[in-house]
Amino acid sequence: MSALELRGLRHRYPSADVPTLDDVALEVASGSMLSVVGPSGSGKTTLLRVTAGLTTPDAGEVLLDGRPVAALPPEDRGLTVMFQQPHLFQHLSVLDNVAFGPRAGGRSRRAARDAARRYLELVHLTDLAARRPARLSGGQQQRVALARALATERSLLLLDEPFSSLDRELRHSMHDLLREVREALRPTVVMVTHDLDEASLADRVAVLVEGRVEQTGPVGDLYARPATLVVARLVGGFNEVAGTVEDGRHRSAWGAVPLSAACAVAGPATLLLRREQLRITGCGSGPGPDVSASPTPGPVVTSGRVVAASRLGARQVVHVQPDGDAGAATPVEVELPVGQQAQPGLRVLVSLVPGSEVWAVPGGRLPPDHSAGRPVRRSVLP
Amino acid sequence: MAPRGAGIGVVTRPGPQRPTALPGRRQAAPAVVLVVAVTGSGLAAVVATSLGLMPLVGRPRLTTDGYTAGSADLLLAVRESLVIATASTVLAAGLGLLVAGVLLGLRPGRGPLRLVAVAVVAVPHVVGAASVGLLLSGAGLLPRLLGISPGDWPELVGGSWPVATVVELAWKESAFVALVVVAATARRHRALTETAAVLGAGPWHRWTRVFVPTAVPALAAASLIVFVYSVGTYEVPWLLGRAHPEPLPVMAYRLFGSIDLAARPAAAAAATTGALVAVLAAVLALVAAPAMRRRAGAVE
Repeated sequence: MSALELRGLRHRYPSADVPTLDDVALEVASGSMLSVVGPSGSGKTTLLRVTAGLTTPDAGEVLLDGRPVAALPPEDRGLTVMFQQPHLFQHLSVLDNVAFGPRAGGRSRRAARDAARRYLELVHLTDLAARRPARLSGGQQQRVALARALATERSLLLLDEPFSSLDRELRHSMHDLLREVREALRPTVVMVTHDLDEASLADRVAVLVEGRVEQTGPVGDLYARPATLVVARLVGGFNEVAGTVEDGRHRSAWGAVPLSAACAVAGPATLLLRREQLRITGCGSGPGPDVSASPTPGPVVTSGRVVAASRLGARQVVHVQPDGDAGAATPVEVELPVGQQAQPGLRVLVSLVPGSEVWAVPGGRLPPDHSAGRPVRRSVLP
Repeated sequence: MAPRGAGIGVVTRPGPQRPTALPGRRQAAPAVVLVVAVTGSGLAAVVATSLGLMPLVGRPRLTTDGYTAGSADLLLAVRESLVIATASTVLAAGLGLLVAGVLLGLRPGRGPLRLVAVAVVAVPHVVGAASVGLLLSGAGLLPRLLGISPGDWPELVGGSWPVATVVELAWKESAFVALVVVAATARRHRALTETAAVLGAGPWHRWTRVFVPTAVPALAAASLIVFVYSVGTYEVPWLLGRAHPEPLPVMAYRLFGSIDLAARPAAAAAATTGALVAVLAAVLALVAAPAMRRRAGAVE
């Protein structure tokens, strides 16, 4: 049985033109973790608030352990929420903050504090039990908030972008802590985030766009097999090529590219090639001929000229303007292996990395504000 | 000298802007100076009068006769003032807190209800006192509505207990308390109560363990103002209270308006005593404030 099941959830704010949630259906297995990702305004937080009972949906059902809870107030739903801000009770000590849930659940002060100490130990904050929240750092406050949520010992933990206000280092430390907590307590977790790295902490990811669930599955699927163009653009790093799929091949100005066997798309479709799936091989004069002149490692998809280069950490990303019929297209992005680099002006062949899973999504035409063959450079997910 | 025509463009991050406005203290200084001058000179004159240093008749002479000659009445007046102020403050604080809690719990779009709830602040006390008098007196609206004859109706106006006075002050000042508490807690209220709810706290638990402790600093500040105002208010107990014993402001006004000019020091003594009670209350509040703020978690 699912620990959480959402059926046909709909919600629209009175002043909004479009629904915040549009027929959302999700299931979360007991003890598992689901990340809900999506751009700002996609309805992620509303989804969590509806689940928690803090916002009333216009339609749909929320079931916890198979039990409809729509009529229950938040305190009776058997779940707890950790918000983006820790919202610690400033008039209580750290220990009493963590003991708040057990006390509200009817335990004696002593029993609640004993329980609180155990959870403070879990988040490595035992030494700060007597402190007031105002005297804690941001990371410590989030740890207290996590301990406080866990101390309720409720079966479902909802996390609303809980680490987004922390710096990178603290965020990673909180990710480690979350892994520890999951290992130790096996709670069912639903985490809303806009960070795909953070989302990968979960067993499964649901992509929410404009109030609709576009795709659910393991986070790797979002990179390898996005269900729609919207998901691909959300993930970022894809080159898009408009064309048609026939007999398992995507045909476009780039020629016929064989698709992955798992790709069941037919008719008008957009070919999606991740920039790290492509390689370039120098084939002409130009400044900085550092690219290996060795034969292409895989099937050539296009030829062209490097028009720009930028860095992505230790790697270089080059922008190749395709020749011929494909030349009208926007440049192709290629992420080079570490140590390899190319300068603008170099003529290159762009080829597929052997063994790459080539994917396409339905819809050969791009939205009016996008030109054919436009590579997706930006991502709303950092 | 800056180079001209060198073809160099420099883009810098805008530095901190020079403050164009004066700092808060300087801005407030003219008003503060005026208030201190008026209040201070008035208070000095009253104290001097109470000590016989500014007599209307006779020669100035340092004496405590203004305090001691009618000390029994003065003590009764102090007691009456404390009873009225304490009861009004407690009731106003409780009612104000309740109203604030209700207002904070209202859904968005209930602005008109909020406005009605705090509009009481704008009602003048004289109007409030007249209304309460017409409502609670033996021949008033309430006994008529309840069908109780004036003889059977308790003496709420002008009786042995200052019920009507306390009711009027508590009613009026509760709106003020609510306004202060709402203003001080509104920003965090929703987030904290929602957090408490998802931690399993029901409405009562949220009220007692989250809302009330969070509201305490604002409640204490508002209560102090209500107390001091109630000690000093004249028109409400004059209209609704009994003739004797009378609270300090009524006593001061009566003696000040007396045809016996020698009663002026006693009038000033009553006024000075009222001011002293208010100052003592303020000092006590200031002493207790840091601990209260720490307990409520206010960020210094």
